[in-house]
Amino acid sequence: MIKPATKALSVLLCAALLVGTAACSSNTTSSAGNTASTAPSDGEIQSDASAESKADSSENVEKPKTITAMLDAGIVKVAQGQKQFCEEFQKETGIELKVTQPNHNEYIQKVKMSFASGDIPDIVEINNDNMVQFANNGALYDMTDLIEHSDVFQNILKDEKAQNTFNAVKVKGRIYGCPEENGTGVVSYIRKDLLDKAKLKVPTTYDEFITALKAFAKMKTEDGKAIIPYTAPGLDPQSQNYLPEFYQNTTGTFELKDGKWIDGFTTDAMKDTLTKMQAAYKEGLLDKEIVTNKTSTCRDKWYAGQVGVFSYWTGAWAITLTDKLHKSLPDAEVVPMPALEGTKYSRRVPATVAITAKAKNPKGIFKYFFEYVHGGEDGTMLWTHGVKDVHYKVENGKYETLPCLDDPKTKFTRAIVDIGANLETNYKDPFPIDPRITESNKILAQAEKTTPLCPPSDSYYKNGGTLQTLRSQITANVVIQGKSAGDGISQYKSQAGAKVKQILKEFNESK
Amino acid sequence: MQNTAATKEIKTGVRPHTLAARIYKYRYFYLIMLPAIALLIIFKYIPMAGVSLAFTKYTAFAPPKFIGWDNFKELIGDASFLSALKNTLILSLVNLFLGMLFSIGFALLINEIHRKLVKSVFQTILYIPHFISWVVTASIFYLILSPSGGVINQLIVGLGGKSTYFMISEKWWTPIFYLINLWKGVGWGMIIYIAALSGISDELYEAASIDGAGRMKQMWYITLPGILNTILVVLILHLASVLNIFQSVFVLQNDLVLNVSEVIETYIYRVGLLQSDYGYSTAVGLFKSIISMLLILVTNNACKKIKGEGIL
Repeated sequence: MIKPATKALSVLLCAALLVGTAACSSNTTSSAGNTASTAPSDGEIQSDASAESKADSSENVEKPKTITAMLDAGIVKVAQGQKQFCEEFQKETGIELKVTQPNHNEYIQKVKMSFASGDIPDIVEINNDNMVQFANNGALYDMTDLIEHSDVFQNILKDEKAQNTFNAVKVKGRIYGCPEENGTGVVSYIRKDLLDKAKLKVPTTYDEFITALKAFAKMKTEDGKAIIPYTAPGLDPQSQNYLPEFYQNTTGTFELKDGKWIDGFTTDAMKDTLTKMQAAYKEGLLDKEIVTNKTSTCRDKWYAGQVGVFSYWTGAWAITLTDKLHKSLPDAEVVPMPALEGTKYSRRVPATVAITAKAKNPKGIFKYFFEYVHGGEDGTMLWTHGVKDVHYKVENGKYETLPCLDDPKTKFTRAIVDIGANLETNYKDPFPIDPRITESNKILAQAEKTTPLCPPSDSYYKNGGTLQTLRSQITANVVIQGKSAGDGISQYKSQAGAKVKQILKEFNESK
Repeated sequence: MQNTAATKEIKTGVRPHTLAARIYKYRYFYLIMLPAIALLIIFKYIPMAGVSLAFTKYTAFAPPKFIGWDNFKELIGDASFLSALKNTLILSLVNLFLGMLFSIGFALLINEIHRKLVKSVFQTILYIPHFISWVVTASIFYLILSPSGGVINQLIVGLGGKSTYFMISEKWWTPIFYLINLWKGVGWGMIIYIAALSGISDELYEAASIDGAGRMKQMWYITLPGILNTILVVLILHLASVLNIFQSVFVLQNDLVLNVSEVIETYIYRVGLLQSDYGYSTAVGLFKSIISMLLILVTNNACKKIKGEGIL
């Protein structure tokens, strides 16, 4: 005999299942600025012509109603006021900007999964090899013609620096991603107060640099901890810009030399680099934990006043590195070190924002997003400094950044574009530029090189990660575990030779 | 007609002969089961269709394309995969064996403590590491084992030894991995054995004591047989997921110890997500599931032979 309660329970459970299933299958509406939208708008065409728009100068191009975007560091984080940022963008342009911002360390995986699943945004932030790979596979819209016929971009391209920036992101001579800014780079920051204590000047040669590191190695912090003369997040040749003094004549990876692609890891210059790093590590001049360090670990050690030299980004980072160090050591003095004799700092190829090939209205997106952002007026201001009274304030005509929403003890530095790195020559930044930013950028510009992007190569995309791991292993074996540089390179050649040969063949055959 | 017959049988209390009649008789129970079955089908069985991706070439830029057994041929010929498979089996099985051994050992020791407060204190101390996330655990051990300022190295240097960078040493990484897993898992693992121990009748111990059995003999002839079923159940349940080690390895891994630390799950992550070769990584995952199933079947058969019955 079945009790009435059992009957009721069974019916209720089934009803709950039906309701649950129905709820799961319906589309969810996401709030502006912070999307988890189930279907990208692909640049829906706006029907509301009355929307306010300062960017509206429509000819035959239709204005998108919504733009879906997948961005990495290319936008302020949610906790820092992304919602207000998107609301401001909508207020100014009449376009709803729906942003998906995965975690930085899993960003590119999420982008690839998004493309694989067909849930593709209208615009995507993408850089370096990934941009080349996406472009080569037809996943990105070719923006070259739009840029060539755009007054805004032709104005930008009058500047030589901007021309170099755009040339650096070209794939087979075409532009698939618009650079966010002129690329910044890594320079070495050195503790001048420690140099003064050792009665040394800022080093200008490799020997002076090693002397300074040796002096730092004998010093201790106020709480008795040993000073780490030079820290870096790994010895990894692909992150060579974090140890520029050692990678003097090679990148340690694939590089273009005299018009031909070669593997820098097998060169004599790399052998010299490995030998120098081995000696430095043995003498205690490099961080003992260099292999397991992450950039955040290095920054924390630097902020704690434990480090003598740290190579890191120019621009706004010049302020952060000093200000946070001053919290633990108010008297510490930091200077960006001019590149050593015979050394160059690397200016990175900047990240780009690309229109995806699936976007339905690429011309509309270009006109109402890219031209607005790079127009040198309100859009550029928004993209650089964020939203007024959220990220900065204006008092008596004076512009001042406000405390960060997620960390009121720290001042907001930038929305997207690094300070002083704007592409737009007509943009007059109303903010006073901190001299530390100017100085770090000047030091970079004095001795810089730009490493070109690798050409498309399926073998490279398939084996690049494995080769990078092998290089890291061998580099660490040489530097830390005392293997000879020659043996390390021979091991690399025997293990990776065939793959490297195929990759170089594809690189050099690529037009 | 059939319904009428079934109703008659229900009224007379006789078990209905036909399936339809039995379903009708127990219709409300079936209705109660329906949501659970539906959820099982929706979330467990339908996604299994994704296994078909193992037979495709599937990247971020093109829809899946059927390529037959190519992915499996590639993985069988890939030295990195074979190394990952070997590491997975070694790390998992040693970890499982050590985990069970120490969990049972600690459970037996805790069981010998008669003062409730002392017993609770020890149990709590042993449980706590289980609640610490793997990321935090890794950070703690990186600090303890740091070559510059880590407690262990300070001790070694203090005793006249040479500072060692443990986490990048292939020789040291594996024992450290086992040690960290024991530290984190033993307390939690012993709960089930403590519960099983509490189910053994005190009369058995009293009888054994009267017969002259000492502590060790009581443990060997009463305690261990008393929890043998539990040990086998735990073993088989753990074997089902023994190859799914990811977090514990991933947070402790670095390029220098890949030869001993690359396991199938981290290999799938590297190939599937970082290189976005989804078809190949699905093939690796499927291969891993088959090995897991084989391990369970072998163990279950071994149980049948030892105890006369398995748990599957």
